[in-house]
Amino acid sequence: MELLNHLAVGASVALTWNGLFYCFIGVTLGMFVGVLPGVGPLPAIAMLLPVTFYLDPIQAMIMLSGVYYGGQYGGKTASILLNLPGTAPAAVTCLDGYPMAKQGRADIALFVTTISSFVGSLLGIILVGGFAPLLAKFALSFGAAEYFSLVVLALIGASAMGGSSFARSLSMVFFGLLLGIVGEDVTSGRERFTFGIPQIADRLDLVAVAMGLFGVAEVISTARKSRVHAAEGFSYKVRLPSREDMRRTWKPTLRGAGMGAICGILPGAGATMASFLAYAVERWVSKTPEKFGTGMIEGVTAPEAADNAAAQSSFIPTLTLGIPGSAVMAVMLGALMIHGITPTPRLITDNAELFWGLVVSFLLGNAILLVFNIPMIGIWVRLLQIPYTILYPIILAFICIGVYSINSSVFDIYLVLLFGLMGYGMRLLHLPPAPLILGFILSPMLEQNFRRAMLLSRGSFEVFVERPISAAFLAASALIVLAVLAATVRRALRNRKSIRKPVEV
Amino acid sequence: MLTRRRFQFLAMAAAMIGSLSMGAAHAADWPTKPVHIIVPYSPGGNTDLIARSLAKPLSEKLGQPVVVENKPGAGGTIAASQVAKADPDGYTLLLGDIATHGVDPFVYGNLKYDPQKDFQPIAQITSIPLVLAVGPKVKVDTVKGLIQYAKDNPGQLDYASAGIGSAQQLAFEYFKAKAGIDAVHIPFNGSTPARTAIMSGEVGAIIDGTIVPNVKEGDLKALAVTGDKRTPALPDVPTMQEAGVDGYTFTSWHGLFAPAGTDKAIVQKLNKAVDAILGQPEFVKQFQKLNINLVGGSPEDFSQFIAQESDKLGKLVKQAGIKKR
Repeated sequence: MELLNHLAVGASVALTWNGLFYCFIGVTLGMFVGVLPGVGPLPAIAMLLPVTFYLDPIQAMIMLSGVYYGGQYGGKTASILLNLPGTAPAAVTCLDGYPMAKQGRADIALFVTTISSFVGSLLGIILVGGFAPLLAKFALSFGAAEYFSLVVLALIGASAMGGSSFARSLSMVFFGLLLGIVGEDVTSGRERFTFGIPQIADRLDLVAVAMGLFGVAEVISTARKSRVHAAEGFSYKVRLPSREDMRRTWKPTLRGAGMGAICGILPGAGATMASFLAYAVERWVSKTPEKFGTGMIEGVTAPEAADNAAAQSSFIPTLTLGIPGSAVMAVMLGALMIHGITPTPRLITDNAELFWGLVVSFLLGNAILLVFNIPMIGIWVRLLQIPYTILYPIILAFICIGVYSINSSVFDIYLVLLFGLMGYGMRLLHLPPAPLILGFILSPMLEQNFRRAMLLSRGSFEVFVERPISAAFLAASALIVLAVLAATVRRALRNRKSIRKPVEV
Repeated sequence: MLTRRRFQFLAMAAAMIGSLSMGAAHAADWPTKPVHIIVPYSPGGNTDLIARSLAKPLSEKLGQPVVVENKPGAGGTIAASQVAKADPDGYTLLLGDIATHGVDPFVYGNLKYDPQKDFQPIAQITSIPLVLAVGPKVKVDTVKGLIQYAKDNPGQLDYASAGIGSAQQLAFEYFKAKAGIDAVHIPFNGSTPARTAIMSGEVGAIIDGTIVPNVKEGDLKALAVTGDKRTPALPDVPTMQEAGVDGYTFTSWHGLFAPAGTDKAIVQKLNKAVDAILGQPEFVKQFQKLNINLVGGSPEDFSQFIAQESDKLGKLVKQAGIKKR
């Protein structure tokens, strides 16, 4: 079979001592930097870049990509254990991952997410290996109108996120959209709501906002409760997930992986969109959507699978079109091009050794990560054994380091504290932070793509319904709105019949 | 009597004299500690790649580690104003470019630095010719053909850029003025999404330096390069002047800067080291693959070049009707 031949070519490169060595170095480094919230794989890859000029390009790519997807495994650790999201997808993992940890199920959360990360990666790798040239065309089929409609769908689909009422969620989405406006307007080049502060001229830093709303707010509210002991009912042994856990996990994992793999191909969507959509879909198909946000295992496995699948499939536009979907991919593209390797759909045949070597190293690297991450769970969970009085100052220090390291900007540290206070205030008012983050992340995508689509159509709104992909997304959004309205009306009628009871908020 | 205050004064004076003489010693045996190169953008772009490629051979030449630090934000102006204010001791350098030292003063209203007065140029590092190309939407083969297309189909042609005030926008506005045509500007958030839009045919044309691989692949049709000579990366593509746009040249560039007032000896030492690295054949070849041509030369050459560029870019910003933010 042809595929086996290709894999054999790849194995002949990746399974040499050198190939194994660089793969091992890459994934272990990635695993450790990924755990540090805010630091992540980007600085590590940028620092390794000059070293790779002196390496064989295949080995260089094996190592750099190892750091990247290895980092995807680590990102969930701080989210689940400490409510500290270092990336946008990690913020989704916080929603149900941290409640699971609070219930003493951190080990199970980490275990199932490791498995679902692995499954997600596998699906992404299959897409890269089997269909890369075909899918490259798909990446280009998304223009401004399509991205706009996709964002609309994501916003509407996920508005009910956070386990609170639709109205509260929706108001937080809008608040997030407004916060996302701060900074330079790409279409006109003017600054909005920056008050002359150059540090927010681009926009408010996402990691500062996310770590403030989730992590710092958590530290403040726990400190107020003056709990000095570790979470009760904790087992320090790593338990295996029960059969029930596994039963509830495999479908969300596959759905998440599928969505992530598709979003990863789109350079304008990527892992962020993937994990939010995966979470939203799980809520929609669940029989108990109201329980999301309280430690639902589906709510951690689906986004994690999506995140990893997107990490792998984002290699497709990078390698075949030279279009990197993220800064990490851009660095890797630079590493490739400085060796004179041009990204093209023909890269797979022209540089068969490189391409299939990478694919085989992805398989190998993910297997290494799986084997390494499972025993690490016991060590990570032990972190929670540390009394809060010691752990929380350390967490705050890590937050400051992580936030500072992104832009080397002290201002961002003030920003994370400000958003921490805001997040605490929101908790007191029962306002969910997740929809705010979603609105904040999608705000520039929504606005820029809308205005770009209007510029391109020279002012005609029809462009959004004329293009079939865009029209399909808008139709799906309309259906969701109708479904929510119908459910609300039905509930209102039922409530009128039954005895009046206070409305749940 | 030696009162406490007088003692403090004497101590301070002694410290100042000490630091002065140490300053002189510094310049002679500079560097005695790691040198920092500040990159005004995130990792993943040309500027970062250039800084990191330069750092390794430079640290070998200077005998001290050279550390690359990314300080992105506000179009590079945050990093530039920080280096402008840094100690002129040769330990904090900036990898500036056409934005921080060319366009930004005309685009940012509250700029905290003067690109010419607050900096001591070390050396020009790169000169990057841009490429005028059309995507699948516009079916022309020459610059003349594109000009004709724009005239025959008013309001149809649009072009992509990396944002308001980007080199891509200015280069295209310059082309519009020289060719006497009109085209709608579609700004993107960086050159990657701009490139995607041109490849998918969503936007018609672009002038950009990073599209060379896509041109080689045949996804985009290159009509001309914007330098005064043809570029080694695309030897068959004519220059704008050869293609009939008289007097049109536009290149993007990078350079190394120290804060103004840096000791002449340090500047000379740095310049010599950088110039030698830029002349290494394998280095030149590596960057040619990326359509980046290495320059070098004396600090004075670079000073003059920046002054010329500043005049030209200032006029272009005005022509393009870009207002200060």
